[in-house]
Amino acid sequence: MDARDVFARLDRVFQDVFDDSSIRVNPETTADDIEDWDSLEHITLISAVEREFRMKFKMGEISSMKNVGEMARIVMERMKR
Amino acid sequence: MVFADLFFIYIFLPLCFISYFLAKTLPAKNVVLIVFSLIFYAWGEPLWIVLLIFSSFLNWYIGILIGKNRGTGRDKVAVALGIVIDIALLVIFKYSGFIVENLNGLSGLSLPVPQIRMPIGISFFTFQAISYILDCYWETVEVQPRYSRFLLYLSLFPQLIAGPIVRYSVVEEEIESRTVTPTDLCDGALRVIVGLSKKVVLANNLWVIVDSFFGKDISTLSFLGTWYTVIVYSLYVYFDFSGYSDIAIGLGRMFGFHFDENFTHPFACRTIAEFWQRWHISLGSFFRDYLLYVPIFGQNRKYISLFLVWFCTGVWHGAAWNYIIWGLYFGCFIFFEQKLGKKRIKKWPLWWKHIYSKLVIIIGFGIFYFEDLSQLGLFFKNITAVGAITGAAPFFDPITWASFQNNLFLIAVSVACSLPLLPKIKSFFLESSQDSLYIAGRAGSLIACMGLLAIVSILLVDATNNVFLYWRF
Amino acid sequence: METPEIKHMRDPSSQPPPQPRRRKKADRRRVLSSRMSVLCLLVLVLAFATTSVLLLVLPRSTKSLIEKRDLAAFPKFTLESYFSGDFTAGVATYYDDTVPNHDGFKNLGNSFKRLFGLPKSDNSVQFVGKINKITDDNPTSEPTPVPMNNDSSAGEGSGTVLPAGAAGRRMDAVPANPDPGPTADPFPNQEVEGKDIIENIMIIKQDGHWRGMEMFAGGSGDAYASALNNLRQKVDPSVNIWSMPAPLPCQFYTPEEYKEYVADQSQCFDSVHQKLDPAIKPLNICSALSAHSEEPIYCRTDHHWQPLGAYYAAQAFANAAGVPFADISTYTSKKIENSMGTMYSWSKSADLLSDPEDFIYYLPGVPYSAVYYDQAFNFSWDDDDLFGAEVPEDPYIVYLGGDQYIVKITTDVQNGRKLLVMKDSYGNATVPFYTSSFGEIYVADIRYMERNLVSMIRDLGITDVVFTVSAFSVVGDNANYIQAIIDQNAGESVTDPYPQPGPTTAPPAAGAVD
Repeated sequence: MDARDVFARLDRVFQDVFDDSSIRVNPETTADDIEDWDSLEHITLISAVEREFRMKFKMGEISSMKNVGEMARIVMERMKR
Repeated sequence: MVFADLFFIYIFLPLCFISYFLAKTLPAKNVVLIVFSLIFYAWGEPLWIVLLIFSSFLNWYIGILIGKNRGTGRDKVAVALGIVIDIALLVIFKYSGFIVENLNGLSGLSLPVPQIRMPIGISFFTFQAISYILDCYWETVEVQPRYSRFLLYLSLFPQLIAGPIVRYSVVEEEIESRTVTPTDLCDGALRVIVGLSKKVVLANNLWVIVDSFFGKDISTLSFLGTWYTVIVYSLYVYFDFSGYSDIAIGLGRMFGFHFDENFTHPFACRTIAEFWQRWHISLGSFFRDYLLYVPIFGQNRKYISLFLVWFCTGVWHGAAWNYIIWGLYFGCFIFFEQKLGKKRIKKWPLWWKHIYSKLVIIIGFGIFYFEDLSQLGLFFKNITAVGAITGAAPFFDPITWASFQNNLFLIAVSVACSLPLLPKIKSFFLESSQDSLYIAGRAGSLIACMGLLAIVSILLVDATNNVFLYWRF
Repeated sequence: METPEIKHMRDPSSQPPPQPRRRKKADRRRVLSSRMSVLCLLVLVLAFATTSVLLLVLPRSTKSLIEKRDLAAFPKFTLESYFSGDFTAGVATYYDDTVPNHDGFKNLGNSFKRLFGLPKSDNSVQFVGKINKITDDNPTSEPTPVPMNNDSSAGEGSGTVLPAGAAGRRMDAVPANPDPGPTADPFPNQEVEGKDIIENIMIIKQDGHWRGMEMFAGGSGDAYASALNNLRQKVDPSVNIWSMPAPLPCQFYTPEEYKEYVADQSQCFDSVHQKLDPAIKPLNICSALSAHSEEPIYCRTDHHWQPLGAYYAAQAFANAAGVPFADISTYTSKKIENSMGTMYSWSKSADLLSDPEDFIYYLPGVPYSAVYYDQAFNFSWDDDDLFGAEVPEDPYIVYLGGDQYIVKITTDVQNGRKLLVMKDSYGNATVPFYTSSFGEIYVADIRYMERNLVSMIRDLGITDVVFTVSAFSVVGDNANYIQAIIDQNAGESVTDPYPQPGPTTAPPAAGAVD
């Protein structure tokens, strides 16, 4: 799966979670860019991403990922295995 | 030792700065800081400094073990061991009395209640140590190979006793290389003076009001008197704690460290969630990063984690039920805001958002104050006017009125300072493109701070009421 | 707050590079900024350095006159005190407490706090402490704490700081006697003062002047009544025992709207007196004093009454006891100007500080002699004077060398009546007004006397015993002292170690008293 695919699917997940069909994410997107993205929604988001890609984040990753790019990187790493 | 103390300001600090700037190399400067930090801690805890040294050594060594055994599975054991020991120390020193008392109450046993005095600052340095070993384990920071540097991180006296809970990642680089410019020194010193003023001029005198009303049997305290006092108490806690954080951040800056902000005008918030993004930020982010995302609750983890975080936030503040109630109380409002949805809350009129959030926060501080649950019950009776309606307490009383008149300006200044007004004035001058305004701003803040320092020093002559509130956490 | 990015607070210089045209300006600002910083830093360093050095080299204060206490001493180092933290805490306390010009800075700090409130006008009021309503259901369950314990007048002034006090006079009077007598400690009750004293004080502006008053909360007075009843049983029925407690000023000067917060002392005295043996003569002087409340009968800045109040009390007693009484016009008045007593020490109210008062006391116009004994009734000195040094910070100390001495006054009065005044500090001021009423007057403090009260009354031939203690002592812990002095050394015999003939003082001529 290439990065474009991942981001396309992430877009859908984000739109779903934040109930906003205008959301488009890119590697630089951070919580500051999406208004509803707070620490609790982060949990919802992580769960949704995990479901979408059938993978699991580690706890350290959940709290330390700095932007969507990092999230996508981790997703792609996990998917390869 | 406390910050708001002539001895600290005019003996300890000058000696520390002279030694620091006489030391030529960074390692030497670090040694100076360690020595003065240990003196600072030993001044209040001559015995339990042993615990600080033990804790720092243990966690430093756990970090080493994690680094050596990365990926082998033994790193997991090491980090788990570290966390267990850290939490165990905290529980023993902070909660054993509370736990045994409640066990006795529940089971009818009469186990001896241990009388352990809690070492100063244990809640803060333990959390910093935990954050360090978890960050090592998650590889968000490098393992610190030198014990002395880790000891410096944990014991650094500006933040040792009452926070902020500085992350290792924040000072990681600055422990090994940092510079201090005249601007650092100047801004840091002014920040320290501002913090001292918050504590000595505002908080200490607000406390006198609080104590005169809440420090007695409150069963006959009037409805308005209860509101008056709890509002003053909210201001008191803010100035006490944020004043301490200002001093810590300012002192850090003077030594070349840049700590994160711990308070950003919390009373300017519009929702409870926002309040906690502005209040004691270092604690909130600690729980967010190290507890909220614990992935063990499956599908419903969001809300289970939420209440776990707020339970722990409450417990962290003290070994008594009212703190647990206080934590869960905020958990409920965060939950409520979450369920309602940000979008709907956003549509509320601004005045309503402010009233709602301030009401919740102020009543929350009432819960925070009364460790004795029967007093807390009386507080609720009086603040909801149930006391006044049933005739147990008056609606208003002349003592409150007298206190209000005698402290009107103190309270007004406190309210003004709790809102982001001064920073606006400051940026008007300091960010002005006109040099004259800029110079006036710099000179004005210097003169104001010198005046404040004089007042603080005079008020500190044989002051008895100086222990920072967060000292005991 | 989502992504846990670490946002360092950096100098504005780390912001993205500005436009080229603006760059010059930004550079200039940077230079200006660092110049300003250097300048600020110089000022700051200078200020801190000067203050630090001055605090170190200037002579340290050792006493606080306004707080009436010795300042903290440098702690003694022992391993034990070190490990308990007492040593280090003591060093900091010493440093903070003995700041040069301690009292001046405290006054300044207290005055600063005036800015906290609205400007004051008549009827402005402030409360110090934890004020609660006096509820009907429990006026007696929680007796008022007894702040009077720490009567400042217990000492006699220090030899160094205060002007020639009673101690100095004693040395003049009995130069050969090396008896330690009065201790050197000017504030012997300091440890009491440090505790939870002085809970509640009302500071109020009336008729243009500030007045500080302790707020009386009432109490049962059971210990007082039962001790007096017990005494009545033990002394000869021919001896008159009087109970004439002294009301506190809050009885007379509390405005109507705050009456709920103080207990009525007249009612309190009446209810205590109802518990007394009918053979004890009760004397409630509240109404007698109330008639004169427009006059300066109470100190505004001290917790005692003014001598004028004591005069009206003594008058009421003399009338009741059927003894002659000299009008106040026969006395010579003396004034201690600008006095500022305990109400300021306890309340720290700068309003009070701004409004000192004159303490006016009265020298008897009749000849008398006075002998001072220590608490165990050993002869200390004969001074032939009831008055000592004038201390504006502690005006009431002018009487009787403080509280703890037993004093005997001999007068020209030939009516065969011998009075024993059992008192706390409130009683002190009444004593000079009895010099025209009784041939011999003994004065002893219920808190300090170490001899047996019954034996004293019997062996000294006392005909009248009057208890003049403040309302606090009637309902508070001090009342327990009365039973204690009835019980201590029971059955002993007491002889006056300094029996002495008639009066030796001539009526004071100008300056003779000082």
